[in-house]
Amino acid sequence: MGRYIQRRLIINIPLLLIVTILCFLLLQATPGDPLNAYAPPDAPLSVEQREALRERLGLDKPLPQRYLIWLGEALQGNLGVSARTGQDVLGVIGGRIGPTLILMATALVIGVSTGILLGILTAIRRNSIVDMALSSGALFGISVPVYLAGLVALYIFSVRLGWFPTGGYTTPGNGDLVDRLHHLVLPALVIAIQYIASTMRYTRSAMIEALAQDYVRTAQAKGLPFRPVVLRHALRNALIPIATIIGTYIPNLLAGAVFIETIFTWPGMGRLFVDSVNARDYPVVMGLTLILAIIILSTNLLTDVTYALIDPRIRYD
Amino acid sequence: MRSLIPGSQMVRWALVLLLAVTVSYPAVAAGGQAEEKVLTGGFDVGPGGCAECFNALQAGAGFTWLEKYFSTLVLYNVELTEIQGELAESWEVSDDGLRYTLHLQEGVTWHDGEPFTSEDVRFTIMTAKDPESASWIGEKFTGVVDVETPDDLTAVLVLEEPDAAIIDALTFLVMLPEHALSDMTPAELATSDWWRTNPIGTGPFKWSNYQEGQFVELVAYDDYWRGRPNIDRIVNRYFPEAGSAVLALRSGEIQFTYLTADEAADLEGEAELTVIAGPSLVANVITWNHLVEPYNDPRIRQAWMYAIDEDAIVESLFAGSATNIPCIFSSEQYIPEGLADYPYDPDMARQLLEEAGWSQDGPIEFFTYYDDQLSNDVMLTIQQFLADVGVEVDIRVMDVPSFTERVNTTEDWHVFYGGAGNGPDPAITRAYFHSEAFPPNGVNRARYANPQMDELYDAGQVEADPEARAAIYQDACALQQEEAPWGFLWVSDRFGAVSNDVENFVWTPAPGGGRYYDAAHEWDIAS
Repeated sequence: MGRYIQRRLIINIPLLLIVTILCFLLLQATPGDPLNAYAPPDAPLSVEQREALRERLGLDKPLPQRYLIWLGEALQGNLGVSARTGQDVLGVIGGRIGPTLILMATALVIGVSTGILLGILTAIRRNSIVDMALSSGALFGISVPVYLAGLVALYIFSVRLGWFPTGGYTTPGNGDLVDRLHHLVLPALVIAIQYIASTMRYTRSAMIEALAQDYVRTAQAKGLPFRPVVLRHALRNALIPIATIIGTYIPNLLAGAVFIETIFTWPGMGRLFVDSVNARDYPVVMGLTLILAIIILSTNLLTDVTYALIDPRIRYD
Repeated sequence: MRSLIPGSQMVRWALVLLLAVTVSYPAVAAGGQAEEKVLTGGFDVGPGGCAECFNALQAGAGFTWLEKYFSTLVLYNVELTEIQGELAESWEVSDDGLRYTLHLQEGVTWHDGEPFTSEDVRFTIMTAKDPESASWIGEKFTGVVDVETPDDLTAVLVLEEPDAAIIDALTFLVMLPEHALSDMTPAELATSDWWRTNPIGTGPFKWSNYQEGQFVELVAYDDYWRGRPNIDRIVNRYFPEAGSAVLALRSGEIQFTYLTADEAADLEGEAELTVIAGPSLVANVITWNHLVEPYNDPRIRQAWMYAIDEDAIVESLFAGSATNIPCIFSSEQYIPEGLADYPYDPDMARQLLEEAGWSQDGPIEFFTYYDDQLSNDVMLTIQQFLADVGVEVDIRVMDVPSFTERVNTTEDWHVFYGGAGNGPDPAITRAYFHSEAFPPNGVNRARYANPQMDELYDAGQVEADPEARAAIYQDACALQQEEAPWGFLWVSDRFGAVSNDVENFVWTPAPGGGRYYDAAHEWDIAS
């Protein structure tokens, strides 16, 4: 196992390099440069100002050199400073990563736990009214775009009923734990909807398949009560495909953050990414890409390791 | 795995608990709020705002907020028609127009207690005009060769050549404290954390707390020279999606925000809110590339203008909240009396197109950087009007940096729809039409060159007498109407809404926000 993890980590290094090179090239291919963010569209900067800026931002150097400088610094843990504000990139991302992770983790926990529960329920009550209601509900949950669900939820629960704030991370001047939770619940539930729905559907079909297996019949035949049969025998085997699915949720969650963070005014990485691309803030975009790539590659690794934990038959040597 | 059911029960209970806590929370929070007067708003929502732009030398907009803690030497009145004293209580111009003597307000102190003096004026102007500051505002001061400081309360701007727009430029330039910043080079200041950690100004409120991506908070400055503000705390919340700001306003979380025309119509008649409307001073225009044939032929450009029924668009899409313009200007003083806009006359348009020999191989790309629904509708309508006279266009939306790069550095484009600030000072439009202002020296993206127009703008830059100056810009306006270097469409209104709990509130949707006297120290919250 240790060797396997080591090997996977080593494979990830060239992968990360490729990701950063691609991102760097794409940014260069995108029209415009960081200088455009320094003046309103209808006002000019003088030629001297542009030259001074170019030099300060290092844009006067040839492309490969710029990439190598970035890479050299990044290897030493320095992601540079924002082209727009001069803030330290790691600091900027550090301030945004917390809110994103809290929101995503909460949504994931709610989505997966509720989804698995409902999946088991619909599998053992197959074709009952409960199953049909939940299954069609799931179809709805998967089909509704998250930004639409967000707007509807905001309108109903925040504007009409006034149960939750209309967005934001904390109330200015407050910011204690209860205040944070109060802001967290609605966006987390909105994101969770589609994960509840999709986890439920996967769990349901995996469970139905597992319940039809011989070992389940054997377990029942030797007189085991229903609950341990479902949980210990069927569910454990059904969990492998579900673990894979959960692994694929992470990149989705991070990408989907853009919409939800915008609608709910959540100060996370998704919004930072959009703002930075719009300002052509190369260092911030590069830094974010690197960190997101690391998160996603780590989750992939984690997913594979989880297989071995769920199913002792799987060994990585 | 064994304990899955009890575990999930725990999760369920936790959820129930969480929900109970959150639902009951507003009641708890409301009970705890004290008598402190707090005003929370979306001050950087909309085109006049610039969320989290704290470097006041580089900010392209957002002056409404910046002026809550910084101050400029002079400001416009709220009608944006006249410039009045602020930190400079008065000023005079020498006869040759080369020396501007500013008399500073007495008793003004920085938020750290130090007195505000002419040295600060000198420091600010010299720092801003240094190219290392990367300040488009500083660019307006390149003609200032020196700032003399005969005494603490007098500053003299010495110009290389007369520049009647210099007083307008001062409405953009917030004063910076020399004593706090003198050990930084302009380049260091440009990227300094000072702007977002502990900026010191002379405004009615002082910096208190900034949460990235969320809000920034100021508190009353006790020693503000006009007297302590009535409001104790003023909070600016950030809304990346303007629609969220309106929701927050409706639910009472904030007391003020900018609105789109649709939202303003929606909120009209809400009992607890007042909708404020004002002219945007941003002209919506069609810009042709004069380097590409046949757009250098005025008949083609005039034909487009005859083809578009501007009145119908203003009536149906803007619900009347826009004003047609015959040239770049919309302030009456710069428009010759009786100067008419191009009427809707499709027959005339067809005739002109035929005379000029209009032909096209396929649809022409008609692009923009505006991504809002209203602009999209406007372009679709224009597309139909043009199709009616035989001009086929395709609509395309680009993001701002791509747009800027394309129109500034390439000639590979035909025509776009956009906006251009047209005031309050008329001199800012020089960068659109003067032949010296081709990109990258200016934003004459049409690459329009007419010696007569150059002369008028040069004269306007020098003339200090307001009436003579207005006459010069009237001539420029007439010439623009005749030649149609751009297709001048309209100036639309912009909107904001404020809760009726806020008293003495002054706001107008100025271009880039702020730059007018809003007496923020007199704002109050009804108890």
